[in-house]
Amino acid sequence: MSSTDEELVARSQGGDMDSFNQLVMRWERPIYALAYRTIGREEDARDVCQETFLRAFRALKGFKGQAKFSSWLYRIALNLCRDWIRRERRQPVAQAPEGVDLIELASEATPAETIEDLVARQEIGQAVARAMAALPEDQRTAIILKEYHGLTFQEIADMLDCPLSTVKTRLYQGLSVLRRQLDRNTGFKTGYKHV
Amino acid sequence: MCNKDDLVSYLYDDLGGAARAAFEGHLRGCAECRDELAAMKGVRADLLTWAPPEPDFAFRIVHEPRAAQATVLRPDVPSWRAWFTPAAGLAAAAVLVLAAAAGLARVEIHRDADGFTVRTGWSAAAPAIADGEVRAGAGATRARDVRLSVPGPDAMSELETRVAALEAASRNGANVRNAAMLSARTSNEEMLKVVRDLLAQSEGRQKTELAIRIGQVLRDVDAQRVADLNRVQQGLGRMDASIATEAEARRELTNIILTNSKQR
Repeated sequence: MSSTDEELVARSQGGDMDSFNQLVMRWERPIYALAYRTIGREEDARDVCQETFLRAFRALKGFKGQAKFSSWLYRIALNLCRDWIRRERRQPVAQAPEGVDLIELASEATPAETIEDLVARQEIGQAVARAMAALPEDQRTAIILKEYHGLTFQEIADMLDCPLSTVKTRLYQGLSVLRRQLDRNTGFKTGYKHV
Repeated sequence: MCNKDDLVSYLYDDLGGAARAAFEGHLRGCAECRDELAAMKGVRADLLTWAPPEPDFAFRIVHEPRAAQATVLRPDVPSWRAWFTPAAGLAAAAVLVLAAAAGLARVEIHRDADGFTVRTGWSAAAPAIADGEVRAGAGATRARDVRLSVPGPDAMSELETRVAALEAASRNGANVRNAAMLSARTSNEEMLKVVRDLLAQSEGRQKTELAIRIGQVLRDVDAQRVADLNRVQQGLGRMDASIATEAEARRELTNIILTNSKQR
C-alpha cells in the first residue's frame, strides 16, 4: 500500500530523500500538464515542472500542512508560469505539430476509433489549444484547474486568492469565449456547431 | 433573471438540494439557459481532447555534496577494493614485512673480489676485518660482518643465529599477512552487505515507480474513455437533431403535396 502525500511529506521533512522523490514521481505529470497548458511550450513546461519541485524541496521545512501538498505545488507552479508569461511578455503559445503523422496517430488510436475519428479529435485538440492560448490568463487558469485537475471551486478560490463567485464568473466567461472560438474553428469542419 | 453562477455550478455538478431543484425548475422554463448549458457541455467535451505531449522526465532531487548531512547518490565505480585481491594483498604484505625486517636488522650485502659480504646490525662504519674474524663494533649495538668466502665456525654459528632471527621475523610477517587477509575478507563482507542493501532499496523504488505509472495509465485510459463517451453522446445528439430536421422537412413536403392535391 502506497503512502499518502502527508506521510511522504512528513518523512521528507525528516530528511528522507526517497520519500520526496516519491512525491516527485507522483505529481510530476500533473504539474507538467498544468505548466504545459498554461504556457503552451513543452520545453519550458518541463523547466517549470523541475523548478517547482526544487522550490518545494527548498521550502519543505516551512510547509505546515495548512493546505493540501498538491495545492501547494500547484500554487508554486502557477507562480512560476506567471513569471514566465511576464518575462516573455507574451501570450502563451499553442504548440501544434506541423502536419498530422497518420502512423503516429494510428498508434494512439483505441481499437474502436477509426483514423478519421482520431484526426478529428486531433484537430479539435489543436483548436482547443489555440482557443485556450487566446483566453485571458485568469480565465484560462480557472478552466485548467477545474477541467483538467478537478479542483473544487473553493480550492481554486484559495489558490488564486479570489472570492468563490469570481472563480465561477471566470469559468463562465472563459467557457463562453471558448464556445464561440470553437464554433468558428471547428464548426464547419466537423459539421457540428455548438447550440 | 438567469443566474450564471448557478449555471456554472450546475454544469460542474456542484449544486445540491434545494438550489439544484430550483435551478432545474428555472431550466424548464428558460430556453436560453438550456441552450447555454448544452453548449457548455459540448465545450467541456472538446476540452478533453487537448492532451499535453508525453513528457520525458529524468530528474530527481539529490542533496549537494557540500550541504549538511550530504547524501550523494553516486554511480557504482570500481574502487581499489575491486582489484585488491587477497593474493595481491598477501604479496604486498610479504614484501613489506621483509623490507621492514631487513630494515630493522640493517642487512647489507656487498660483493668484492673476496666474495659476498653479508652485514647486519647497527654501526657507524664497518672497520676492515681479517678473514674469519668476528669482532664487536664500537657502538652500543654490534655489527657483524661475515665473509662468505671463508666462513669460520663462529661466523657460521652467527650466521645461523641471524637466519633463525630472520625466520622468526618472517613468521611474524605471516601473522601480519593473515591479519591483512582477514581484514580484506571483512571488508568484502561489508561491501556485499552494502551492495545488497542498495539493491533492495533500488528494487523498492522501482516497485513504487511502477505502481505510480500503472495508476497514471489507468487514469489516462479512464479519462480517454470518458472523452470518447462524451463524443459518442455528442454524435448521437447530432444524429437525433439531423433526423428530426429531416423528418420535419419531409412532413412539410408531404403537407405541401397534400395541400396541392386537395386544391386540384
